Parts: sequence; structure tokens; C-alpha cells
Amino acid sequence: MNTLVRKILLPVLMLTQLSSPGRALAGWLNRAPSVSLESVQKLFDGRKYEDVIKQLSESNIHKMRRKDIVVAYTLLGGSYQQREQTDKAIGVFQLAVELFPKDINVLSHLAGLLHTVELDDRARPLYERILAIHPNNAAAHLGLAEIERAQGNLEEALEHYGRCLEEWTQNAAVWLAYAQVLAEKQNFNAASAALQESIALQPGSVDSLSTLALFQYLQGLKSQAHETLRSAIAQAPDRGDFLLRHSLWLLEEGDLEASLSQAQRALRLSPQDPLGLWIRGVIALRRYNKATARRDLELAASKHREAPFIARIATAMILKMDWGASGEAPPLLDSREYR
Amino acid sequence: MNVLRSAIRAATLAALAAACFFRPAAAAEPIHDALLREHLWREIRAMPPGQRPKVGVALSGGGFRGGAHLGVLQVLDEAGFPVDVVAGTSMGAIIGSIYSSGMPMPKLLELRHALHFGTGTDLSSYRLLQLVLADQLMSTKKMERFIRETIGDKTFDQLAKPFACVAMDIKTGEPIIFREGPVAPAVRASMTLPGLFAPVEYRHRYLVDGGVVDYIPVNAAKLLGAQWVLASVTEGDYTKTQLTNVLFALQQVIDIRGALLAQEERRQADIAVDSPVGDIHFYQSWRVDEAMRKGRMAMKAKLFEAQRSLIVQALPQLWKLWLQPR
Repeated sequence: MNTLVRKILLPVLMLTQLSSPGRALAGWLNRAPSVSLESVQKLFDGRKYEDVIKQLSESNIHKMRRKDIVVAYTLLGGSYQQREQTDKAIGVFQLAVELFPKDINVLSHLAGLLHTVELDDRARPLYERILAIHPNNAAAHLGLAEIERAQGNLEEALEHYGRCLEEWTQNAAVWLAYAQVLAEKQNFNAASAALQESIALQPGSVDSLSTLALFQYLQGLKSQAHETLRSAIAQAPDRGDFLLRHSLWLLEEGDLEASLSQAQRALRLSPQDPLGLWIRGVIALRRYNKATARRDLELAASKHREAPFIARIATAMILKMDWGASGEAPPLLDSREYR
Repeated sequence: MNVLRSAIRAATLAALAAACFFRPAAAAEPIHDALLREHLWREIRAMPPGQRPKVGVALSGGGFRGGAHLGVLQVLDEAGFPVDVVAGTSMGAIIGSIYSSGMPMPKLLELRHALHFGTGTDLSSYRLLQLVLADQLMSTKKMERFIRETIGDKTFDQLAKPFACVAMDIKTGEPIIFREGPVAPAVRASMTLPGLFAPVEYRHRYLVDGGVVDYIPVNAAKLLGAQWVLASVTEGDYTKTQLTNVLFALQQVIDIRGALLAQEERRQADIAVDSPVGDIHFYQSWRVDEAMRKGRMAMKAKLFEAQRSLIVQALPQLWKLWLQPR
């Protein structure tokens, strides 16, 4: 009887089910998605992430065809991510990875998210899985490069950045990151060259220009560095940090007048800037103008919330000035207090 | 529909790509503090070694967890952090002596492949049988040979950087700080784990692993003249050890004693870099790479703090520099 059921009745039953136009239509209607992916994409593009989340309910996603489900999950996870609901975004992408374990994009999103929340130990195997499927995947190489960099493995980071740039030759941000790692390796020539690539791709980036100036300065190409930094300042005159960096370089080189001038410009932008005050205080000290030095250093020392290190150094300098006046022993600074 | 799906997918990916792959930089250090740190650091680096505080590195004991010291030294080297003197205990002594010999960093890092339990002793079945059946402790003579083959038959004063290592006189309990004489037997004494290895006879003393009395040799670094000391610490998490044999029990005693000592020694250091290697057992030579990676991460995380701390220590010298006519 069992054999009969298996061999004859079951196939007949199945055929009947499949060939029944009514049943098939009912099944199709039941599975037909109530939202169109195209409209959801429009919502996503219009940054209406809350609406995307509403539209892509579990029941709606389940009605979609398998090939559409992966796109739906990408939009849903992406919407949670944009709304900074990272836990939910990770949950969505994790589910998507379980359903589509070989889908490179979904793997890539989950790995990227895990990396942004510093769960690198969980992100790494996902990137490695992507590279096992597609050895030239630029996103996975970039992800691994970022992880290696964060963990201090600079050689490995450079290797992955290099592989990523073979594919993404036009990505200014990756060139910038590559340049920064080269600089960390003290390879400033290569770092400057990589940075030039980044600047060429994104000519308006004053941050890249300022970084290039720093690399040039660290290489000892001081006149070039000053020129590059001046160019960055000219493009972004309201960037106090550029002015202060320039002021510090001039201070290092002993050009007190020019250093003071740049510090004053920064202080005009932000009169209570702790670094601007510190620089002006140090210059006054070098000019033996102790009253001005004390005033600025005391102000800098009061900024311990926004710049604790500057405040610490300024405090120590005031103590030292007091010692100079009283002729007593210098206050002993305990480096262990500064942790 | 396929075209649409691809288009949707491409658009979504493009929108998310930037957010996904670049982790925002940690906001641990305000930009102005960073600018001043970089400035003062350059001023310190420009000072001749005699004019800035003498920098010491103290490398703790901890068996193969000590692979983390390699990562710590690598990050310091890459960052151009000055290291003037080095002190080491046990595995810290092995790595410290080779580093102090002036071996280039890439070659030093390669040496980790040569470090395994058999590097320091004869692990033949015959010797193990002798240990178990005849109570004959094993010899660490192989370690002496390894050090000689690696750095040459050098004395302490022939090393590129001043170096000290610590052992213990097993009869008196005194810590013995080696700063002169041949390097290889001193390093051997420093890593001679009591109970498993026979004490090293040296100038009428019987010496064993210094980890029992000086787990983090900060004071040894100070004896060499260090005015600022960075301690690389590779403590084990002894609460998780399974005490399955005599050797593990002995190591447990050293680890507990080391942890107690480390509390005070850590306070003596200006910066303590604790590599998260507590779960690596002292004998797990196959985890040296992992320990090194963890050491790199720990040092990288503490690098700016170490720079700031050294700057504070160097303020008197910087003060002089600022007030001298240029």
C-alpha cells in the first residue's frame, strides 16, 4: 500500500494541485508582494527610512521572490543603519547572511557594520569568506585593511589597501587612508605620492591638502610644507586648526612674529581657543613678558574639559613660573599622574 | 526586473558603502591636544639623547605570552619612539637581549618562528624520561647557545643599547640584576623555570627565573639610568588555569607571585602596556603570533598616552629649550 501511495497516488495528487488553475492563482495571489521594490527604493533614495522600515515588514518580505528578498533586506538593514539603529541593522544583515550565505553584498554589509562598531573579530571572518568567493573583492580588501590598521598590523593593512586600489583606482578616500598608513610606516615619499592621487581625485579636499603639508613637513621639506598649508588655509580661512598647525611650525622654527600672527588669527576665530592661548603664552614667555604669558597660560589651564593635555601643560608651566619668581625648588612633575 | 534589481542594488550599495567601510576615528584625543602633542613630540625627538629624559622599556616575564613584547617593540619602532635602555625578565630577557643587540626590527620579528619550547632545552624522550623517573631536572644550556648564535658571544657592554636582566638566587631569594659580563648565561638564568629546569650555576650562585622576584623589571631599567619607563606586561590569567600536572602548578605559583609583584611594579612604571594575553599559557609557543598581534594592538592603543606622559616628564628640558635664545 505504501509503495502504491508513493509511486502513484502522490504524483497524481501533486499534478492535480499544480495543474489546478484556481489553486495556482490563489497561491500566486497569496504570495504576490503588496509593496513594489521600486517604490521602496524611491523611499530609500528620498531618505524616508522610517517608511522603508514600515513597508518592508516581515510578512511583506516573505511574499517576495527569493531574488528580491536579498534586495529588500539590504534596503531594510541600510535604513536601520541610516537611522543609527545599529543593533537592528546588524540583526537584519545577520538574517540575510543566513539566508544568502554566498551573497557577497550582504556579507560585505554585515562585515562593514560589525567593523564600524569595533566587532572586528566577527567582521574579519566575513571578509575572509568574501575573498574566498571573490579574491579581488575591493570592499573586502578595504575592510580587512581597516581592521589590520586598527590592530597595528601596518604591513598587512598596506597589502589590502593596495589590492583594494587595484579595483577602486578612483576612490579618493581609500588613497587617503593608504597614504596615512604609509606615513605611519614613516614612508613619507610613498605617502605623499598616494595623497597626491587622492587630491587629484578630489581637488577641493582641504583636509587632504593639510595632511600633505604635514607629510612634507615631516620629510623635512619645510618650504613646500608651508606653501601647501598656506594654500589649504587660503581655501578654508575659517579652519582654526590649520592656522594653529602653521603657528606651531613657525614656533618650532623660531619665527615668533609669524607664529604669533597665525595664533592671533585663530584666536580671532575663537577667542578662547586653548591652543591659541597656549601658543601666545609661550611666545610671551620667550619674550620675557611674564604677565601676558601668565594670563594666557592661566586661561589655557582652565580649559581642562575641552583640551585636558593643553591644560595640564599650561598648569605645569605656571607652577614653573612661580618657582622662577620665588627661587624655590622646581615642582616635580609626575608623568604617572598624566594617564 | 533583473535590470531594475541590479539598479536598485547598485544604488543601495553606493549609498551605504562609505558609511560601512570607514570606521569613524576614535574621538579619544581632542584635535588641539593632538596638535600640541605632535608639536612637543617633535621638539623632544629633535633633542640629543642626553638632553631629554632617558627612556627605558621593561619587558615582563610570562613564557610565550611574551611574544607580545615583539608587537610592543614593533609599534614603538614604527612610531620613532626613543628607547635608550631595556630590562627584561625571563621571556622579556630573551627578547630584550636580542633587541638590545641592535638587531633590525624585521629580523627580530622573524625570530618568533625560532621560539618554541625546544629552543631553550633538550626535549628528547630520553631527557623527559630522566625528568620523570630519575628526578633529573632539564638543562637550559640550549638557550645559552641560541642567544650566542643569535647575537654573538657578547658582553653587556658590547650591546647596542644598555640592557639588564633579572634572575633569582634560589638559595637566598635575592633578585640578581645582570648588567655586566657575558649576556647569554645571564639570559639563560633569567628564563630557567624552577622545578623543571636545573638552576644555572653562576659565580657560586644557583640562579633561576627572575619572574618570582621581579616580574616587571622596572627597577632594573631605572638602575640603567632610565628616567621614564614603559612597562610591557604579559600577565597570565591564573584563575583560568587547569592544574593538571606539577609543571602547571609550579607555573601557577610563579604567575600568582608575579601578579602580586606586578601590582607594585606597575605603579613604578610611567606607562604600563597590558597586552590582553592572559588566556595564553606560558608553554603555548604556537600562539606567539597571536601574542605579538595583541601586543601591537595594546601598544598602538597606548601610544599617544605614552607620548603625552613622556612629554610631561620632559617639561623641565623643554622649558630650558623655550627660554634659550635661538
